[in-house]
Amino acid sequence: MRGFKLFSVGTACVLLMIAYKPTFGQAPTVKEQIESAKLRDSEGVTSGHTVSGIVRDKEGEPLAGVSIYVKGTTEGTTTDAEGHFKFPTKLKEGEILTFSFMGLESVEYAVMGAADEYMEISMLEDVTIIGDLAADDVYTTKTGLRQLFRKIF
Amino acid sequence: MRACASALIIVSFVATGVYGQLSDFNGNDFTKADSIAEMYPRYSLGNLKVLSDKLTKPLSTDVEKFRAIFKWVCINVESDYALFVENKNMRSKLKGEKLSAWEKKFSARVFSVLTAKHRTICTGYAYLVKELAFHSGLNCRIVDGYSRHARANVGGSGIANHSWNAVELQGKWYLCDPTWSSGTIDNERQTFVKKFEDAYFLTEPRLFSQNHYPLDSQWILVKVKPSLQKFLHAPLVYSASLRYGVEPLAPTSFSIDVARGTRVFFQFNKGRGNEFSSLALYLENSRTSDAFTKQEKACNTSYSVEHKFLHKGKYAVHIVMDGAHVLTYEVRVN
Repeated sequence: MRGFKLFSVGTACVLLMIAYKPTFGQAPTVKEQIESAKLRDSEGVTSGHTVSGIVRDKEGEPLAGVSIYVKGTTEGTTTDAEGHFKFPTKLKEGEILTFSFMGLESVEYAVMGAADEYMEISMLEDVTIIGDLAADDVYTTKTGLRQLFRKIF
Repeated sequence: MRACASALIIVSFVATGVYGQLSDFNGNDFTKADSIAEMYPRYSLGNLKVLSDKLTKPLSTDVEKFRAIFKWVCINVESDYALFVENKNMRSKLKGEKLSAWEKKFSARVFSVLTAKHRTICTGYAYLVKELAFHSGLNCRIVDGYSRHARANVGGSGIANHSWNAVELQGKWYLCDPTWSSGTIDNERQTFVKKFEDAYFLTEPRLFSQNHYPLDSQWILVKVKPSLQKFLHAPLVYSASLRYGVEPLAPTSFSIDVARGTRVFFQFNKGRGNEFSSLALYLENSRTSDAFTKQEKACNTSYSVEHKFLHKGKYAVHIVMDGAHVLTYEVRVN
């Protein structure tokens, strides 16, 4: 039964990949977002406030395409070309929003107060690239022809 | 002796796939986590939250979730030789502001190559593991530092060249290296050869510290920490050393000088890890291409292999278990 479930998930994923290829990054999110929103409705937790804002990098430039989620749920949105976002559902004080962008470390912010809120988010932590590769070859005292060639030229 | 050897062979079959470093999770079977990781080949990196959910939602324990993430990254991301060469060359060429400016552009390119082609260099692997873990609620971080292999940090004063991960599971921190678990570079062909290596997943920290030394020494995760100098000058270990649980005892340094006619005993400890059925010493003479097997001698968990150096020269001495290199020394005979 469990095997079948996994298989279905896999199949669904492949279908999604085919169906939504051009906007793949966001397509499954929208579907999951609706499901999640429905779930929240049924639990009666929709009485919150609107959260919007802007996300910038450490130079202060707006970041487009930052994905934003309520932590622990699949409810999310992304920033537009100017780095702005408006969360699609109402949020409650204390809920955590996660902000992620490829190449930057994800950050978390808590939703404050009971009134509508405008967040200014800075994603500061970029990653210094270090470049080693997977190497497990055997040490040799000899200089290979290739290395010799490189040394000379 | 023959009876002993056959006993060892039997043990080696039983022990296959069981590594000491995972002893805290002996009750865990990663079959399910691994099979989930295999369900999403080359899945889009456009939204890591979506991928993380797919990999971890069906799993109940943190260690299984982390395993699925680690395994997915290792089997789906390849090392990019061209990026490695460019990074190495530019770092030695540029300094100060020019280096910072180049670093920023390079970083953007590394991540766009990762997203578009599933190819990267070590920081990209460590970043993916960290971010996927973040989205499943696991506390994971990137650890930068020195890695040591045949072409890096053998002697010298040390160059920080590598990134790996530390992850908190059940209140304890563990170490892993997704880059080295993903496969190896064929040095001659300068291409990546994909091969999952379990030895760098939640490795016993003492073994891990033989070829990984963090810039921030708190991430060594062993009580008695070796100095950076000791790390850089220790006998050279390989992935197989971690699989077999090999730690060198004597000589304590990679490079040794001896007088002609000296008998040198190469000794090491073997802790938890795969059992072996053959042990050999290979001698590589720098002046000829000859290499030959010497002898074996075993007692309990520490082993000693000896060789008498009769001729002047510089030799690479290898200790080899079941055909896999586990230790290398460089011996100068005067």
